[in-house]
Formats: sequence, C-alpha cells, structure tokens
Amino acid sequence: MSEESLVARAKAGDRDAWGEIYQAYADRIYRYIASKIGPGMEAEDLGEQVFLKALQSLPGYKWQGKPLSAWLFSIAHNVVVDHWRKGASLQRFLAQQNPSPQEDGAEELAERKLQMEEVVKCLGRLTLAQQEVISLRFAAELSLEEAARAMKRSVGAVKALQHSALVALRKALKEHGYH
Amino acid sequence: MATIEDILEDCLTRLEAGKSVEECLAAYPGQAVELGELLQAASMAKAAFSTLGLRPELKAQVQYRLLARPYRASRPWWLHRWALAVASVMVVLLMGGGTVVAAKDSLPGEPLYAVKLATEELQLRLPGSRLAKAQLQLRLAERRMAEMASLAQKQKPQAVGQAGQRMVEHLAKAERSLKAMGRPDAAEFKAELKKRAPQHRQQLKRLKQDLPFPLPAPAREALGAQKAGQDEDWERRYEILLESLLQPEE
Repeated sequence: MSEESLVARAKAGDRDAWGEIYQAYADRIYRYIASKIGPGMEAEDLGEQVFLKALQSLPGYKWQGKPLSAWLFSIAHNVVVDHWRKGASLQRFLAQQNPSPQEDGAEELAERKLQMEEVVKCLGRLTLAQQEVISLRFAAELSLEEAARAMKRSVGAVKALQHSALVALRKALKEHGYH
Repeated sequence: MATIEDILEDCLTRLEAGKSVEECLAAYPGQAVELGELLQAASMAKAAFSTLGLRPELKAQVQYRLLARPYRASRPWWLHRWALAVASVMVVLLMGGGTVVAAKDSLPGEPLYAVKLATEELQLRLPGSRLAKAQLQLRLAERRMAEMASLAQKQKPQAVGQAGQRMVEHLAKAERSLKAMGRPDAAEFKAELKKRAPQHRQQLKRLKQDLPFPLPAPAREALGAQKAGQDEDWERRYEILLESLLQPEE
C-alpha cells in the first residue's frame, strides 16, 4: 500500500493504518534519538512522544508527495531539542553508563555498546548540522533525499554536509584511537 | 567532473547495494585514500547504531497505548451538525426537489457545496456491503474529478486542489473497504475500476490543458500552492493510488 493512502486512511480515523505507520518507523525513530541522547529508557520515552505528537497533529497534516519520514523526523528533531533544553545531556548519559561483560552475559554486546558510546561521544565534537546528517543517514537510515527533506535543505547542501561530517567524525575517531 | 561529495555519495549507495569497499575504491583510484577513511567512518557510525532497536514487547505496548488514545480523526469543515442536519431534512423532505438538485451541481467555494458533501456523507453512513461502500467511494471520487475539471476551466487552482485532496481520500477509503471484502467482491470492484480508469485518466489529463502545470512561480507563490498542495500533478497521484488499488492479493 502506498504511503499516501496509508496517511489518508490514518487521517480518516483508521487505527490500523496508524499502527502500520508506527511499525514502519518506530525503530528508525528510536535509533535517531539514541544517536542524539544515547540509547535506553529516555530514548524510548522520547520515541513514544514523537508518535504521540504526530498523532495529535495528524488531522492537520497535508500530504505533499513527500515521504512521511520528512515530517516524522522533524518532529523527532524538535522532541530531542526540547529534551536538551530541559537540561538533559549526552555527557550525563555517558557518565551513567557502565558497560559490564556480565550484563546479558555477552562480551560482544559489551564491545558493541562501547563502540557505540565512542561513536556517540565523537559525534559530540561535530557541529549540530553535521550531527544531524549522521543521525539521519546512518542511524535512521534515511536516503540522502529523505534526509534533505527532513532537514529542509537541498540535496546538494546535505551531500556537502555529509562529506564534512564524515571528515570531522573520522578525525574525532582517530583522536579516540580508532585508526 | 564529479566532486568528492558526489563520489562519496555514490560509494555509500554502492555499499548499500551490497558492493564491497574495495570495489568502490577501485572505481575511484585517485581518491582512494581519502575515500577509504570516510567510508570507514561511515561504516563505524552505521555499525554502532545498527544493533539498536526497540524490544518487540515494548513496541507492542507503545503501539497499544497509542492506539488506545482518543483518536481525533480529521473532521472536515462541512461535516458539522448544521450541514448534516440540513442535508438530512433535505433528503427526507425535498428528495428530487430544486434545492437538492442545485446542491448536487454546486462546486467547492459555493454556498450549497457543504450540503452536497453532507448529503454524500449521509449516503455513506447508510448500511451496505463493503463492495457497495467501495463503489460509492469510487462514484464520489469521480464526482470530485468532474468538479476538478469544472474548476480548472474556471481557472481556480486552489479549489482544484481541495477537490483533488478529497478525490484522493475517497480512493483511499475505497481501498480500505477493498482490503476488507471477500475475493469475489474484490475482483468485481477491481474489474469495474479497470474499466473506468481510462476515463479517469482522460479527465485528469485534460486538467493540464485548462490549468498550466506546474503553475507559474508567481501564481504558486500567490496561492501558497506548494504548501497547500494545490499545485499537484493529480494524474500522477491517481496512478499511484490506482496501482495500490489494483495490486494482486497476497
């Protein structure tokens, strides 16, 4: 079913259609938020908030031939910004983390968790726009065009931003000992 | 000549399609060193987040909570009590009378148009099979197409946009009924739709003759058309919906 008719059904009050939209985007929205504030319960709660806000503004949403992702990820961006405004910080999240090999009994899991934390920490060295493009492209797995729509920029501008973001990330990773 | 930004995006797309880093680098030997470092950073970022996902039980709980909330579906302006009340009275008392006929021919923006839409809503609320409901939605979509044609002749792109949005909603609702009906009924509906599609296409194509598409920039700006979806390629939108409606059953 096309995204357009899914939206029209959801707008007409079809809860199943809304459920399909949630299932299609829930993980990607969560990964996007986790890339900004770190994974865990807070990210899960914010993810739920994104869908609540979307549900509230659905009656006024007008399909303009663009993927729904542009709308949902701009709501997610605002939710994260509000969260930051309330004083939450990535540093606080990282300070709370204590990767333990016993947790879930998997050494590999602890290693992956560590790597993710390093990447999240390195992302903190990038400009906000660079962080955004990395989160949209590699955490939320949006295409370049979708990311451009979510960021309300041209594809060319986002392509250039993606390049500068990866250059900056590479530099930060090197300084953290990743060669 | 391709810039490093273009080359990087090309390589990311190739990796997404299953190519290896080596293949990408071989395609751009002059940029291989810089490219290799950037692709490594990209793959680290991707790998770091790829394992993250919501626990299935949490996802189910959130979905349940979201769907259990009071759901305020879009309530069109015309679906107000007054319009429904007028329509009900008219349907009962004036069946076939002059006012009903006048409302039937009204166009978006005209005083009796609200009564026309409310009358249709009443028709939709009458009991009937899913096939009958889907067929009625199809008729109403056709009625919107006819309105779009009249409005395009009158050079009213904004009103064409409004009628177009409603056409899309009727077809989406027809699809909803289609999904819920049995195979024989679904086949009957699809056959009917296939038969009528050429006429729909012709009508939507004609729109472009009466209204320039896309609208010239000053007109678009004056109408805020991009925002309100009035400057749409309705022919293309119809094709997308048609494809979705006619797709084979799983």
